[in-house]
Amino acid sequence: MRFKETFKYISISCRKNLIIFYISSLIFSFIITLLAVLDGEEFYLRTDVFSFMMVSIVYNSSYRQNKLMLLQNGISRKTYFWAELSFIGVISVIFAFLENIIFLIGNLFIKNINIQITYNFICKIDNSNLGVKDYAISLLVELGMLLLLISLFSVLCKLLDRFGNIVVFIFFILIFNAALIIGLFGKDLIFIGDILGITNNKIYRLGISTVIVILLLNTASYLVMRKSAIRLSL
Amino acid sequence: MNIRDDIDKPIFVQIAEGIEEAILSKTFAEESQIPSITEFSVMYKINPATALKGINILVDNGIIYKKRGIGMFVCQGAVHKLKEKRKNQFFDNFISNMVSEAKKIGITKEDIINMIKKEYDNGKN
Amino acid sequence: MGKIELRGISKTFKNTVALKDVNLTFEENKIYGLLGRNGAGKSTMINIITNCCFADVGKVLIDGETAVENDNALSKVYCMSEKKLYPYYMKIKDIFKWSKNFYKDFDMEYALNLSKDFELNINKKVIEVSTGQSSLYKLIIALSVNTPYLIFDEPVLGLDANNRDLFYKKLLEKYIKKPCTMIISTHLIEEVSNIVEDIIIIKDGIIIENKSTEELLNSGYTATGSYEKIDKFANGKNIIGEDKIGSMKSVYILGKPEKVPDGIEITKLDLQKLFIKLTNS
Repeated sequence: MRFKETFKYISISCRKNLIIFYISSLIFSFIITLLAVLDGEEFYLRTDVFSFMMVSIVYNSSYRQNKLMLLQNGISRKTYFWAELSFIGVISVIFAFLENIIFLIGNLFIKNINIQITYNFICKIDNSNLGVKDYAISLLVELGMLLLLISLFSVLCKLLDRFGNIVVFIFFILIFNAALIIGLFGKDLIFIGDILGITNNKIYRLGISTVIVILLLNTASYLVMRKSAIRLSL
Repeated sequence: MNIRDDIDKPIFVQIAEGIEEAILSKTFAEESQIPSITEFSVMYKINPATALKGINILVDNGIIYKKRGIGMFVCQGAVHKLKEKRKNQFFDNFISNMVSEAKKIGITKEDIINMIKKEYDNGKN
Repeated sequence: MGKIELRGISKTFKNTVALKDVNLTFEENKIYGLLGRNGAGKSTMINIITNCCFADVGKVLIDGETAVENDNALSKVYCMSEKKLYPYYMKIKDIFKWSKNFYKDFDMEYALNLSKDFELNINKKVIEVSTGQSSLYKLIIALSVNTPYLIFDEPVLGLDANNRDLFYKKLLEKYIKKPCTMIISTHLIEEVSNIVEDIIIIKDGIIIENKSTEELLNSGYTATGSYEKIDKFANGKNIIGEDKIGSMKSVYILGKPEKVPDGIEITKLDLQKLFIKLTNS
């Protein structure tokens, strides 16, 4: 298994874009939050989700190029899948940590910024005290959420073409505000939301349902990759 | 030496004969080194196995010998051996064809003998 | 001994049978010619060996291991083809670097020297090079990668005469210095017939010939003479084709020439003609 070499290729080939997009979304988040806070609003724009979305788009739109490059170099689709998954895992962990570091830094300037544990873009600045356990949970939740989103994005991008990437982007935003949408669209959705742990903030349910969905999405992703063959006329 | 695809002789035979010709014309002197398989192969764009086959004919006939790790050399007495071989083949290669061609176009035996005398006496090759 | 084996490989694309029950063995350190007309199935076969597409039936074994989705087996094969498989934005020298990453035995120094010999600017991006240069950098990688098995799928596409000549010379140099199995897939028989040891001819997905170049050349002969004499001579023989030139007729016959009457000239079989005759429907 030439896993190491494949991982190296995936990480280096999108390294530049990753950094550019992350910093861009950091700046973007910072500006929006600053404007909001100066306006007297008590919310801030999460950096991790937005930057992750940007990264996802960049990363997944290079799926086809990467696939061709790796097949040319004798790498199996299986190895590609595991290297990709590992890469995504690593990036998710890094992003989740960075997000929490930003909170800690933010706390130096604005007393008691706390996050509301939810799947939303926008977080309410909450002045109640959160302990270490809460931070740990928030980290895991963020991680789960990021993995979930990129898994979804990943499998959709593999199935759709370039235009499809834009559709997926919009879809992403909608998924992101699932709690809001569920709230808007009625009782039936709330029922589903409750089971999955989205609407009632039941962390364990949220965790389990997230893990199950991540597994399903990545299985689908693998199956799509496995089936892909290079057409003769390119 | 020229390797040609369009003539009937197999490539390895052409290689062998080309080297023989070079030995007879003293281009490759006795006990001197001849180009390697690699050089023949690359120069004429042929598979080394083919070049080797041609060389091996000469090795079997005692014209070339191989020195391990160094290369291939022309045997001592190779020129003599080749001359003998060519003498034996001379009749079949040249005389038979010449006489049958002469008969075909009406040149007499005496004409041929005169022509041979003329050629031998003018400009000694 | 190491070898690549194809056992009972069949592949159908929608309604077309691309390959039918292909059984082949490629042995260690030999140069093979894979000949066939356009669409005969050569590229499909190569794609199957290199895990780019999957056979419907049958298996490919590389040194005894199944090739499908097997990194270890696949690391022993490198295929050079006209397919655009490298990222369009990548510089050629970076492609060399990545080749080194994936193939441990890639000789970077040799690759850089070859680039100079072929006058290739390796700072150009994939999208900036011409067809010929595209073939060149892929050829350079193939010659530098040092895997036990090398496949060249139409290697000289777009190459001018000088570069073609140089390519064959470099190929032979490499083969002698660092032997490996080479499979050259092409329809340019005249160019490769002196280089390849064994020839495999594929027609409509079926292997119709698989023998050494020598055997193939010796498998038949050309008989030329007047119409009358030729028709009489060729009667009952295994004729694979004929050509008429004015009042003379040439017949291509499989077998050994015997009891050749006067007025008929026997010459060797032209490999190009043999190929055309064998692969014509």
